[in-house]
Amino acid sequence: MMRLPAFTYLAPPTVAEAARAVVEHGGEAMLVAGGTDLYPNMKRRQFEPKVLIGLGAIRELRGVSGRAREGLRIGPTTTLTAVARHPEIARHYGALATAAGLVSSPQLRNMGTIGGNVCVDTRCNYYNQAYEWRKAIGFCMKKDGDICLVAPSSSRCWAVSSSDTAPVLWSLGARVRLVGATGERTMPVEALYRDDGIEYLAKRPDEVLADILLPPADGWTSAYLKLRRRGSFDFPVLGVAVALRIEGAVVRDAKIVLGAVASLPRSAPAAASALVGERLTPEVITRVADLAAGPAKPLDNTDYAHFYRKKMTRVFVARALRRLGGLDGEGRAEEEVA
Amino acid sequence: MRSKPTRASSTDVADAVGLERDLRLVGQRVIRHDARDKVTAATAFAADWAMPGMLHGVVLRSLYPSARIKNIDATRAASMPGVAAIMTAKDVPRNTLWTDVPGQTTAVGSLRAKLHVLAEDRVRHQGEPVALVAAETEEQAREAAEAIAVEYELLPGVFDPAQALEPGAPRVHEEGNLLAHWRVCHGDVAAAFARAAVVIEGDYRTQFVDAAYLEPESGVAWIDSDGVITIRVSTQVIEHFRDVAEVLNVPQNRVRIIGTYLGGGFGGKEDVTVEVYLGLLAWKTGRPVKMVWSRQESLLARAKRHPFRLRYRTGALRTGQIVAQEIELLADAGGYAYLSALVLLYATVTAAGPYRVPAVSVDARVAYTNNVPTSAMRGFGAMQVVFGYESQMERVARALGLSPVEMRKINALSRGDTLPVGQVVDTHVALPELAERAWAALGELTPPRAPHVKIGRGLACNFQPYGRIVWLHDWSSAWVGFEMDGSLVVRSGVPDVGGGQASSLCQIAAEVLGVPLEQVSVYIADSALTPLAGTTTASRQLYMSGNAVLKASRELCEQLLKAAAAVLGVDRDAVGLADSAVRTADGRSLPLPELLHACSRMGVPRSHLGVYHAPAGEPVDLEKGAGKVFPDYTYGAHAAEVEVDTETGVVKVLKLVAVHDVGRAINPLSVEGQIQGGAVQGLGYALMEDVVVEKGINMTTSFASYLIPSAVDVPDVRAIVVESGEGLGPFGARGIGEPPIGPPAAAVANAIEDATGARLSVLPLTSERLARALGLM
Ligand SMILES: Cc1cc2nc3c(=O)[nH]c(=O)nc-3n(C[C@H](O)[C@H](O)[C@H](O)COP(=O)(O)OP(=O)(O)OC[C@H]3O[C@@H](n4cnc5c(N)ncnc54)[C@H](O)[C@@H]3O)c2cc1C
Ligand code: SF4
Repeated sequence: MMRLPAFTYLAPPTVAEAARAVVEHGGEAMLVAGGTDLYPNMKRRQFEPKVLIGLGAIRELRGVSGRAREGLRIGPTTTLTAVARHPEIARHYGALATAAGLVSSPQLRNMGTIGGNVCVDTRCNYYNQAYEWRKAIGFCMKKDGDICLVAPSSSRCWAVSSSDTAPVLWSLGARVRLVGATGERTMPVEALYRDDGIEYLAKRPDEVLADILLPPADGWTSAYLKLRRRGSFDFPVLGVAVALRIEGAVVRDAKIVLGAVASLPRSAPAAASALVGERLTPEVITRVADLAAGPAKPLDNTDYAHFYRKKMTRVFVARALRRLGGLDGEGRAEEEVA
Repeated sequence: MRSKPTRASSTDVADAVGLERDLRLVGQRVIRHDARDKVTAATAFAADWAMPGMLHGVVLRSLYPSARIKNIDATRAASMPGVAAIMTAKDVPRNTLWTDVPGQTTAVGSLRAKLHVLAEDRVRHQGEPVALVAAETEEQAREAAEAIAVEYELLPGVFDPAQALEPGAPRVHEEGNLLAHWRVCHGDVAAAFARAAVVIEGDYRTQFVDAAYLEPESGVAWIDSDGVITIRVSTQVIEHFRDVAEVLNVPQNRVRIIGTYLGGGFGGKEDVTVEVYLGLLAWKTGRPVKMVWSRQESLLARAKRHPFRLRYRTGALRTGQIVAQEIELLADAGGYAYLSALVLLYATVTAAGPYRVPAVSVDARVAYTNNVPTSAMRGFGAMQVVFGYESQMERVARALGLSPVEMRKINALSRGDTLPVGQVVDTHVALPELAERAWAALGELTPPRAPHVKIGRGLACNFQPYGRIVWLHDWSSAWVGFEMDGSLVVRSGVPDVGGGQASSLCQIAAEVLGVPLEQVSVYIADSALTPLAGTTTASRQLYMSGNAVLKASRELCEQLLKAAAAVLGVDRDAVGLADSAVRTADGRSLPLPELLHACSRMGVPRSHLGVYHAPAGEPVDLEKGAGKVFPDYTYGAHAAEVEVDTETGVVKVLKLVAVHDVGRAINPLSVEGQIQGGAVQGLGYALMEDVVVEKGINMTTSFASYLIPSAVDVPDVRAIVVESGEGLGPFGARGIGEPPIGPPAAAVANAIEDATGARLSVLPLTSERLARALGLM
């Protein structure tokens, strides 16, 4: 049932060669970094590549460089453990260290990379199942079928963006550099995501995520809260990333991005702009939290009932703001819900 | 290696009989031989076995919960590379197994339940075995299994036990959907309610859960050089060699089961799992065959714990004394009977809890559905009802303003009381002490860490039978013998499921025969070579086989000491065995090897076979309340402290204290392990575990969706071992395998009510459910 199908593994030494290799093998090839997402998916036959192009041997993709003052460059094959423990990231881009440190379990964080996390597949209760199971219930359009089992009248797939770091990177204003067989481009991380459970990435298969670029950190503080049933292992069923630039107790700039409530991370611009020029008083926080919950439109295709996740969006946004405003006084670390 | 015992001896258990105090090994915190082997990866589990020329077997399973099989075409699969055999129902010598559903008291009458080895013309649950494949590699076997074309015609199914019992419901089996129905009527319930000052009604629901053992079902079978079909398998019951023989239509002495050390059983390996399929494939191909079920298969199709609907109506006097319980139980058997009727019997007998209740009526039914089958699981029906009766106890106490401990003290059973089924309690019940100690051990109340957090505490007690139903005439046997050098061998057909079953037997034999533990070797769980000891289920193994070893050891000791007295020319009473030597009252000693040589010269046997028969009884008519059902019970009390986040409904268990009167702890380390493991499994049941079955389709077939607690989700469980010396096992021990799983769910629900005022009556106690109860949404 759950066997890894046979494939050819290539380990090109450069990004350019990796991109070329994808093109050479046409639709048969996929990139792989830590494999913690792709291999389980292959076992369930959600992907059936004949050729895997491993990125692990490419030195230019590894490691963190730069200083928070000028902005950091994170190589996409840096492991989540390394990101979570990196002192410069932990100090100046706190939410990113938190989010990386909350992904699955220590073992998976040692293997899993931040690039893989940015590109991680979308999830759905009807999709993350063994092949035979999907066959029994009738394949859905995300793989092998043509209907949606969650929303049968829908012409699209609503599988859920389940990355912990993606909403945080977005809230921090990160950019990504993609290198393809025919050229490269750099764009804001949010431009990487599409509102579609199947084609969830706006990139060609041959495009390798080559750099994750964080802007200078000055004046920003950030927080990330994650909802899941257990204190370890589980994917987020709600992620709340908040980044604020506060000057003399007044919010000058704000970003709020929600994870795991749609097929892509969802920003809450109305809520964010309602913060600008305000002090983080309990009243402001309540108003902003209500506004932020608006864009959260979870469906019933992950753990936890959708109305509960929606309800919790408000609670989590308020908590993140309280924390950043120093109002919570409870000092409980990164995670509210275990 | 051995530290001083630090267990709490219950000097406060008032009328306990005297515990034997001057024991050398029994009661010591001994590190088990199998523990060391497991952490150093020396244990060869069932799936670790390999043999030359071995094939790999897989099961093709039904995709649908209710369907007719119109045709099975295996021609393409049979021609695929590496395929050695494909079997369907028609290739099985005896495909239908019948089991007697025991002594019904009412409507159903005596019933013979049918189980097919492989599905014939229809499937009754998703994942039901349909065909077998053996091939050179597992991949080839799986590919071939997928290539078998099974043509199904979908049939209407029924997925809820209440609906299954409605007229006109689709029939899961021809005989109808009511599988078993038990009733208890004790005292005048109506009159008792009329006396009651408070009457509390409750409607509770429990969920399907999985055993979730580390080691999935697995084994290897081969035909040995003597032609015997030999199956090395992870099982709680080596006596399944009889089932294999029946299916293969060969004499029972032509099948041998070798049981391995298990990576967990929890009842999930009490029914036949892989062994029949392995037997079939080895018999068909003549080659060794290995079969290891994947986690997905195990989660999909292996028998689960029964979901119950429990309706309670409880009446109490103003003093807190419970005077009446009216209880209705309805359980879901899934597609096949397995052990459902017995599970229901346990629930029926224990439904009113470990309390003295003068008037009780229980009406309990279990129905077939097209859901995944349910069967034995740790607690075996006596577990679901704890959630019912302990929630009720708490609610009555609250209504009357009594503390949880007072409430239990007022109502606890004691020696001489009669259970609703007519069984007289003839051993000590330490319940008041257990409840008190559990509650006290919670210590200082944890202060809330934030304004939106509330702290609460809850108590729950339980009683769990150990040993099999008395009319099953249970017995066990063990062989104990010395080798010439004074080393000792214990043989007993005991499966060791991880509870330290084998190691405890060594401790008992070494204790009696005066040798160090290191000098004992133990051979277990081989149906051909070890005397049969019965199942490792029903918390019975220490009780039964411990007694068999004790008996064998004592008789062997007697045999040897008589010989020693003759050799030394003294009275029998003047000699004893200690430190691997015979010691005389006047200070002489004879090394054991010398005595053993003397025995062989004199023709005195150096071994003994001990057979222990449990106290037996005649079948009881539960309804008439006629007498003894179980040999004895183990009592426990758990106290929980929880933190509730009132904005999210998230519950965190901060403390859990688990106290059990185990009679006597042979090895306190093993006992504490059982208590902690059981309590954590019980917390999983309380908070998150849930096999979600939607119209017969199992939604939780991996550990990404079937959630069990991780290390960060449970507190350090504080196990307190109380020893009343009142058990029927060796040295006064009681069974402790199952009991600790019972109380946590009720203890946590009670603590949540204490913290928030909200009563949850559906398991698991999730944050969504609590958020709703708190009016957050
Ligand atoms: C039990 C379990 C729990 C998990 N829990 C979480 C969780 O809590 N939160 C969470 O976010 N994730 C979770 N994951 C998913 C996964 O472990 C992480 O997302 C991890 O970061 C993925 O990284 P990877 O390097 O292993 O990705 P891979 O599996 O190697 O790749 C994932 C995808 O990204 C693509 N890819 C990888 N690197 C690049 C690149 N440089 N350029 C272009 N494409 C690339 C691959 O082609 C593939 O499509 C969990 C997984 C498991 C098995
Ligand atoms: S949202 Fe619909 S289409 Fe997408 S994976 Fe789930 S069931 Fe399939």
